[in-house]
Amino acid sequence: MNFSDNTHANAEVALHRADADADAVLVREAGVPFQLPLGSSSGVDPIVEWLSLMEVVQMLCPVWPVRDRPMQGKHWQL
Amino acid sequence: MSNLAEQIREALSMFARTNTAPALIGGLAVVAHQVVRATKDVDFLVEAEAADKVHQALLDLGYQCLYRSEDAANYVRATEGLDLLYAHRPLARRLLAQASERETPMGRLRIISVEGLIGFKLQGFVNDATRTRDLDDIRALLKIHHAALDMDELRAYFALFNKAELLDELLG
Repeated sequence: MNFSDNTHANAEVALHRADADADAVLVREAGVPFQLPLGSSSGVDPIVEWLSLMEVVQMLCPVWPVRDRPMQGKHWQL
Repeated sequence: MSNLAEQIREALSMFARTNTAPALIGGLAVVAHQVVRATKDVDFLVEAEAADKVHQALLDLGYQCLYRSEDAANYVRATEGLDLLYAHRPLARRLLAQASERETPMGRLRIISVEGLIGFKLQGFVNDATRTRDLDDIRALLKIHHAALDMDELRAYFALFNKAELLDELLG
């Protein structure tokens, strides 16, 4: 089995974990601050990471509250 | 594929059938811009002219419309939610037109720019100050993308909502 394709990306992720803020903690990262390296060359796709995260989240919390009130406000400027 | 991914894939298919070119906004767009966090927010910006046909298509898919105005609409289907913002002002139309395309496991997605996303997050917060999640998202996006952001565009959005000082505060 060849793991070399992701070695650089994993190393980049590990380096960015060390740099990230404490308030960027994700459960899936077991409390380790995690920030994706920027740029498409990193080999890390945030959408794929999110899907992976949400699989775990949905196992832990199968039913999320759905919005039960409409969007509020009168300040629509965009 | 997860239920959430399947819901998004189904929505993209619906948009294609109705010849609508939406852009991803909201929490999932935040994820697409490198701030990976748990979210089930499926929010799209669509051209205002497509509101009626998209509304009917969502009803056909089993969604219930909770609310609909000229600016926004909220839909639910069991435990799934889907929100729309309608682009009918020049700023939103420009942001929609300039959204970038990306291949994802759910299909090809158009994603609003970081600056535009921050603008919509700010609008959400100004409309409902209990949505502190929006401020957290803005703070995270500013931190990650600070060096590459168009600050003039950002300042214009904050000025639009009379929140110029808030941007300086968030930039720290």
